[in-house]
Amino acid sequence: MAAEPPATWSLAQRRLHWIIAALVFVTALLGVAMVAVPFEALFAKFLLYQAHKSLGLVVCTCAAAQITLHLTRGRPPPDPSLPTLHRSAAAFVHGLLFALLLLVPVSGFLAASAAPAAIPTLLFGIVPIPHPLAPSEALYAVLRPVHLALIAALSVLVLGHASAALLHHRRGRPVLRRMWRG
Amino acid sequence: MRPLGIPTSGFSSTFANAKNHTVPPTQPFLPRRGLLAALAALSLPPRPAKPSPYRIDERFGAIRFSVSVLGLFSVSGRFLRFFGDLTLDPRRPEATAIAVSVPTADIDLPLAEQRDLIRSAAYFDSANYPIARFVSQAVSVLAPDRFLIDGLLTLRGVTNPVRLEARLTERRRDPQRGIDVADVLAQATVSRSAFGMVADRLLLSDRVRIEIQVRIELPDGS
Repeated sequence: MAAEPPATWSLAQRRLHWIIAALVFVTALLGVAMVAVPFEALFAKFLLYQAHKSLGLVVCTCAAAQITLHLTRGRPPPDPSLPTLHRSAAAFVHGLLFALLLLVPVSGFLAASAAPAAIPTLLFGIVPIPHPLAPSEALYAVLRPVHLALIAALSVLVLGHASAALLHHRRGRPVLRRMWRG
Repeated sequence: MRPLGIPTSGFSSTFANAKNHTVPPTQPFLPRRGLLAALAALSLPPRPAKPSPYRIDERFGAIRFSVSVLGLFSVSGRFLRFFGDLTLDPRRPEATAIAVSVPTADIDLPLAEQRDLIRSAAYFDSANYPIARFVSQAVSVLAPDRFLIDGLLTLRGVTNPVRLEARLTERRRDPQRGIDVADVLAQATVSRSAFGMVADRLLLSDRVRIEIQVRIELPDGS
């Protein structure tokens, strides 16, 4: 953390925040769709899986970039009207959100590598990303539920994070405006 | 110069991995066996009393197939069973005759959904065409260890010519069983659309690579 915290979020921090939010939303939709599409629609299913895996890896990269920015540039101080309990709760949720933004894609990628189907991961259908694990029924049986459990946790936290932002906004606190316009 | 007719039956399994061995090797699943036997009896001299010089080892055989996905990677599967008749004279390899039947429903692929898909009407249509069959027509010898096997493959009720390139990859003595064995690797590339199998052409290549690995038992003196 920088010695003197900046007064506002930087443009890069704001952009990354909303890019990550949009990507997480789209990746989640793709995840639901890829599982729901019947196996007979093989090509659509394949494309949905590849798109989901590609965007998941991008989410992970963006989250890592955002964490780096927060650590190097610093973050604006919390709204002075917030009670201490709220501040620590917000800090806790933000920390967990970042952890999950890294862990959900990582667990998904590991699950994809261990999947018995042994389908490679092709970033945007082109760039092959080497799998760190060999296909294994036993490993997959552990990693898939882990990925799903982390998704459940992320969903709860995202809902809480967004509701809190809207609630503060309605109470006249500038948290949402600050992230939107700087 | 005595060609010998050797029926073999009930393959499954691959090297040291017999966990998918769902069918006992001796199961009498032999469609058209009678016809073949009749043909063999017509075309061949009587079998010698001595054991056949060439027998395919039931424990070591595999038929694999693979397709390319978008030209980026390939997906491969394996037939769990096949039943063959091999007629082979070591001194006249060009007289070799092979007829193999493959139950199209007995397939090893990683996912149950993949297995269901490949048995479906769009692919093997196993419900209507439970057996795929290859019958050799001519064998040409390229080298002592290399052969071309031309024959007819019937799949989904459609028959097309297929050329197998066979190679004798290894010949050695199996000390545990006290016999000589030879590994044969045969490869072919077929166009699945020629058999009316045109599903998912955007994703899966038309060309299907087939690889057949069998171990032949060579009795002493051959």
